[in-house]
Amino acid sequence: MTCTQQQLDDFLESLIALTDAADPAMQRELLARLALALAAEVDDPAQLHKAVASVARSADLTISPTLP
Amino acid sequence: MYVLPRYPFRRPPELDGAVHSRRPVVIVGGGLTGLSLALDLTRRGVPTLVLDDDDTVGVRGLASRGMCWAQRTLDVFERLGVAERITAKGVAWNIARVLCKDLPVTSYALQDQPDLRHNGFANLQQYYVEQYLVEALQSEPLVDLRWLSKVEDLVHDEDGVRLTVATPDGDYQLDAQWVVACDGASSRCRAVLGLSPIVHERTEDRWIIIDVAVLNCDWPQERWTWLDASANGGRAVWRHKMADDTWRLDFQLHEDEDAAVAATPEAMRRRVHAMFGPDLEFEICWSGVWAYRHECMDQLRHGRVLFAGDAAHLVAPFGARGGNGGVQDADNLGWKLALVLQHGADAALLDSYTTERKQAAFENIRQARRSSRFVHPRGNVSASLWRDAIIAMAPELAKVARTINTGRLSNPCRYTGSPLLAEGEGGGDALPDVRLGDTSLHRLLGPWFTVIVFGNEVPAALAALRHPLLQVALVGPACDELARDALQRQLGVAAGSGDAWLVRPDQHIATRRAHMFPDEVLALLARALGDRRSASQLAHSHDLHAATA
Repeated sequence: MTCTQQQLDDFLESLIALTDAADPAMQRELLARLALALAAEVDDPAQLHKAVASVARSADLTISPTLP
Repeated sequence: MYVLPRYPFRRPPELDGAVHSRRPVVIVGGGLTGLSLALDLTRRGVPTLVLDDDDTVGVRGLASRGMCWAQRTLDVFERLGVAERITAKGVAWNIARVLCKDLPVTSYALQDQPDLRHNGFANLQQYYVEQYLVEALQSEPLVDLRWLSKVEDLVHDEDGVRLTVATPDGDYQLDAQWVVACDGASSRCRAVLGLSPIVHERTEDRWIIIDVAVLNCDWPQERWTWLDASANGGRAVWRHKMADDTWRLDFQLHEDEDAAVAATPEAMRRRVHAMFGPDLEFEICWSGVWAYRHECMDQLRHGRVLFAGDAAHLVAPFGARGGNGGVQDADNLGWKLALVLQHGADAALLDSYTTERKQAAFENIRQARRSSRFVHPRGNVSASLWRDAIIAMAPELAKVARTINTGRLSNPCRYTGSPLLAEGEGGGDALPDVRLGDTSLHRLLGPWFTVIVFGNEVPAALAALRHPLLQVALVGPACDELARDALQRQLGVAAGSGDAWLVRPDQHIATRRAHMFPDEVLALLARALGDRRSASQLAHSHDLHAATA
């Protein structure tokens, strides 16, 4: 179901609160955990692949698995 | 260029020894909130005196100030009979664009709302709105508008309030049962009573507003927001169209910028030309520097003095919540004061004004803080992290673009915590003014409480219901096929369902029921009037206000 504007704004608020860590290493770790938790919730390989590709594209990255 | 109207000072009879009985309501401040409240009260039959220390509308010249009137506010203005002038003079827009570092990030079209009487908003300078309110009041016999009348002192006890008023002809005193202080952010009434708002945030983030009449542009009628604009030193800029081909430009100042220098005509012209090109021809109508504060009084009622608008709460202008909030304060307070004064409601009803409008004020503050943080996160590393990511991905991902927050337009507050509403009854929302053929839902409402029945016949159980403050309205007969669809879309209710909703005088829903019985209606009504007796007690006493019919 599509989020309402209010739900989206509340979600962004929770993201900002989650990563409000002074230590950059801690912030990175929280972001990685968040990505994994969202992936677990989505649980849809096609959607997850699409999301990764989208981020890569926005950062001008070409990605390939680092291990075969 | 528009010339502000001047209203004459008329020597008040008190200066010549006339003795007047205690006035029911004195409103201090003839601005947006005070004028709206005065119009509401007089239309409800309450004699009202308005004192304003100036002799015109607006503040400090042609300041656009509040200039974006939200749908709920337009509904209030509709009820007060001034909406047509405001929407006719105002500017509608429905496309907003956001740029960051001079590159387009996203644009969105605000939804047209053909189901509803008014569009999402209208842009119009506040001085026009105030002028229309004054002109509406000038034909009201129950209002006494006194210009160049400054409140110097105010003393209140449990019976009333005594005000000392300074005029060009000298000082005089008058007595009031109730005073509503609508005298702005630097409220004299607040200071005289030794009251201060609680400051929730005060920033050094300063902006300069430059209202310009543009002579040679073909700018589209859209709202544009520039984040990190290179021509403004990496700070934000807003551009809004208003009436008379006048544009509201807000430039965020750099931290080390001297505001006095930035506000000189030469510096303002340089800034506008740097942003919009050297060929732009324009006149500066007004300018002013602002830094925002978020604050709210702990209690909006102090004995017989009530506070409304900026005197009660201040919010940054992200989302146009100041002016809209003031009008909605007036909307909330008018009927309650009228019921206390004329229909025997307990004065405790006025305490619900604090509960409901403080909730709205905090919602406004919360929303404005989020917007201001997105526009300029300052030292907030986490907010910057997400802002940068959102801006980077927004051009590609529309769902991400929706989290760009350069100001969420003011929506009506749902009074979830109100003591006037029964829990779990789905009440508190403002009733949208759904179009019904050649009428609309709000036009079916009475001046006080209304049970709207979604059907073609009044249910037998409600047919015998009589109460001086209540009327029953049938929605069914007003509906054509389009209206039935609109009701379903907007309210999720079928026109023939038989559902019955109790609606308050301020068009907020008190309760939604599939079926409603007379004693329940009376109990709900009593609760909405601040009476906590049970349904059965009320059913037996039948009517706590019938004597005032």
